[in-house]
Amino acid sequence: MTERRQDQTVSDIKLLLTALAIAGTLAGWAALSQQDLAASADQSAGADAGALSAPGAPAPRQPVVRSVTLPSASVPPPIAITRSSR
Amino acid sequence: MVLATDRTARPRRLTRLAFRAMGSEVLAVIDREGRRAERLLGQVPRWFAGWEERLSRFRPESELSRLNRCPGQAVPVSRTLWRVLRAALRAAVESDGLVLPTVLPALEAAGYDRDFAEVRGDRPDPPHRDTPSTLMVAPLAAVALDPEHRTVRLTPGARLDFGGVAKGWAADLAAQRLGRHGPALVDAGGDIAVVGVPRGLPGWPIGIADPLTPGRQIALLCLTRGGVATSGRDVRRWWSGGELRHHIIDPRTGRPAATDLLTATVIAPSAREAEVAAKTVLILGRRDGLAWLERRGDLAGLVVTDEGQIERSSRFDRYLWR
Repeated sequence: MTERRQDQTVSDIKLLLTALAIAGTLAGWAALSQQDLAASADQSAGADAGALSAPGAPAPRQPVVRSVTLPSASVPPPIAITRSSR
Repeated sequence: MVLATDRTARPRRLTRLAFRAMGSEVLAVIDREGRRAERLLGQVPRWFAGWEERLSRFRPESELSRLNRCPGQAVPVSRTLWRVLRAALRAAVESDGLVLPTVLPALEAAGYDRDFAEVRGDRPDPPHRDTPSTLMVAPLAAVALDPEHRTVRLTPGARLDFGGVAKGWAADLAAQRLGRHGPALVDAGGDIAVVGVPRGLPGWPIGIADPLTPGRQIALLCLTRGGVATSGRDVRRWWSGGELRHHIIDPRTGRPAATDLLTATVIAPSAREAEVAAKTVLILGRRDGLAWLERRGDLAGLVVTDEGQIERSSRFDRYLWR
């Protein structure tokens, strides 16, 4: 009887470990998937260069569309840069 | 001071000179080569030194400091100070009263009471604490001009600081002088004036610095005339009395402007007008600042909020490099 109970306990522990392993794997996949989404969003922001939100348009919920367009072969480097005085 | 020939711009070479003046980095560029170009650019630091000698509030013996020390008296002033003061009074009108030359007491009360290179770290509040901040900005009526005798009389308590207006004015004048000899650009601490267009290019390529990422630019402009300027609270800021402060005073409160903008960049018919408009937009904040820009047909601008969002006025895109 005692032996059966021990077997049952061992079996329960194995089941628990298996469940934990599966949960861990799923959590890992979910995290990787989120990273992919974030990276893809970053790339979109970069590709959106110059397409800044129009005046009066509702503010985007995610801040920071901080894109620069242009650099291409025909675009020269800036001769001067306007910035806050330093 | 750095004098160099820019070999990257095609097909012509530009000659440029970089130096410091008016507490800022200054750059002068002309679309010419050779000794003649170097001689022309060599005059620019002398021009700036002369203007600074008259217009700096940090030099006790400057003409401006002497004027500020003589309240109630009709003080004869030089043609330079007269012109810049007139420009500062025009700025007050253009900005609907938001850019005033009489903010000096409020600026000092906020802690900006010496050259910015010396304004560092947390400091105790200067001794103006018992004066309501709104009373520290005198109305324009406190500045009386007599054009016939070219004298200025300040009412007691009123003291002047030309700040960015002087830099924009200096950039415009230096660019005009250089422009007699070829297409020219002058950048006085981010206030940029251009005259003419460099040969082989559709305009002057001018970047707008990203205030949140040093070394990066958020747009590239193509400017064929006039000026562009950026006003911001990303650089000239300091701790005072345990509070983070900056140098853009809102005359309505007499305190550093409470704004949701980190920087505002404006393109205008001159660098001086661009400087005044950029400061106005910064004080007004994102929504009201952009609306103010839209009402002025000769201005275009771009703002960066504290969160890094970028917005631009409807006329801004026509100035983008394409």
